[in-house]
Amino acid sequence: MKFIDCNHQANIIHQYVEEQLHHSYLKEYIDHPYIDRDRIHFLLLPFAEANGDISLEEVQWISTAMLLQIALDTHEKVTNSEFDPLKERQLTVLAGVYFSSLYYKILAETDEVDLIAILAKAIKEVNESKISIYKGDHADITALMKTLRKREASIISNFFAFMDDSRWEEVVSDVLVYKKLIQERSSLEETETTSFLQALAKVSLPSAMRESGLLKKKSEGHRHLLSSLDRLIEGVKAAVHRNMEDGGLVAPNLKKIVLELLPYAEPREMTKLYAEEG
Amino acid sequence: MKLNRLYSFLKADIEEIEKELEVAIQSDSSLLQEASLHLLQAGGKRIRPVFVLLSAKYGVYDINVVKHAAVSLELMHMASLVHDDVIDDAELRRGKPTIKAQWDNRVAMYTGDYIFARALEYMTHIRVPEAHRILSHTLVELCKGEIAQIQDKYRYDQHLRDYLLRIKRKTALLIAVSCQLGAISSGAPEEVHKRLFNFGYNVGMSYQIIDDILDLTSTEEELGKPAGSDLWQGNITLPVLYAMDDPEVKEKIIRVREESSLGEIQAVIEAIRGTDAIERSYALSKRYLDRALEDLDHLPANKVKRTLKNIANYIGKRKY
Repeated sequence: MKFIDCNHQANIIHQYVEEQLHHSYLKEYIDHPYIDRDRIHFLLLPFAEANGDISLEEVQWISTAMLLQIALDTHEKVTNSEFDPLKERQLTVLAGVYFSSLYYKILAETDEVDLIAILAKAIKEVNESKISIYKGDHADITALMKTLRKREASIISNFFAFMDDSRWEEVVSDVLVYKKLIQERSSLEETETTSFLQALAKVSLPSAMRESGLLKKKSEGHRHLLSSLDRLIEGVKAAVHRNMEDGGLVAPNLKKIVLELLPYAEPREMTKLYAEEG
Repeated sequence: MKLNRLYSFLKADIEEIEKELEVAIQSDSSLLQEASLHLLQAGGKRIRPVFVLLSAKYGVYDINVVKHAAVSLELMHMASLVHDDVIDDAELRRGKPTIKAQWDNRVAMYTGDYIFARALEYMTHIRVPEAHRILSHTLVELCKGEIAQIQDKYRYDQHLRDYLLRIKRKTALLIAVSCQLGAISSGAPEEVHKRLFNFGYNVGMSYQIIDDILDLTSTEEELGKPAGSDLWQGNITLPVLYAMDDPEVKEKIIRVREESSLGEIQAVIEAIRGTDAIERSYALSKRYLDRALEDLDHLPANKVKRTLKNIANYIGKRKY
């Protein structure tokens, strides 16, 4: 599939997901769910070598994986704060349940029972990972990063397993972790705490430093956490580059697709080329 | 008589379901498992699995097949309870702290989603596409019903049909589908599973009306939460709707808000009890119950039919 065709397919899926998400009353009270275009493109990868458009059934498969991701992201917005408006919290809980029941309904209508099971397994894995990060029960950074990878990539990895095409699993997982780390870094810079930042602080900083106030800019804890995050980001970025440079894994046209999607993950040579050209 | 005495011949299979429920909530995360077990051990009537098993007797009964539907429906019910407790900010369920109270909202959300996923995994062992179409459609309706319930909170100008549609989605559909899926998973004929759906629907409607009556007539000790909680939260139930036919009582009811004091709520409950609203609600509940019993008339006479009849009658007479 050419890049332009992939974009066209992504638009169709985006539109389909938008239609499913529409609920006039929910719309009044909760933020419109974010549809991650990158994820749509990743889910399209197993179809990349197809000639022409993908079928309606395949659009529905990809859309259900997107709906699930959106459902779980929606539930992530439910906080412990007593000051959140009650109605918003109530509708946020219900919206998440509604979106995940739509995934089941759409797949049930296509009689795709195997995909229902595979994506249910993904929901299970994502929630196990989320609670593990939330409770910060990791022995070290490696274990924490493994859990983060599962949290970010389980839905797509399981979808690839359903498609019996695992070629993209590693590169896509790396890219998703990379995106998440960039997001966590910006949360830290904005002095917003997240469960991942707390878990990272727990495994990477001495307790005295954690207690000194992670969120205070320029505090020792804050600086150390930022540099831990930067090291992790660099490590994952290098892994993405390695995978991208592996011609056996990423066919030239698909490499272009991923590069278009991920300007921040451009191979070093290309960055250098732009710099030289001014 | 206790409810479980009515289906004592299913004892071994119910125990199998209980064991399977414990297996279902095993997780790599000890906290997820602990929270799910906390909910499981709080008990419950397990009415949905019972209906699944009984209805499955109308086909080729194989507990190793049917248990997947029974476990799935109970897990779906459990997941909805965990989410509902976050929605209602509830501290207690069946007299025990809720997951959100014992841990917090985040743990409750993760646990609810996890249990929902396990429910779907179990259900996919049933390889009949129609079963999935029916259940998934029901789940979407259930969500729409819950959203509508929030939309309708403290909206006192409701009609009876608004209430009936709400309890259909909230309770009756899942019981109806439990009956239907039991029959489908054992390969019972279509006319039988449709009849069982109607039976479950009517029993479910009757059950929820009784539940709504008990919220106003039982003690806090019996309910495990303050009497009148539904009204306090703005849920307009059948007795409240009927009581509003009396203009004086209506005046009191429409002043109920989240901020109302316990004393104010108790005074409104007294006013409602002083009308014929409770009797009229029992009468409507009985009409649904009678319809459920009529549905059974069309099914072959056997022990299962007698048991379904006894359960329906028990539900119609339960006191808490």
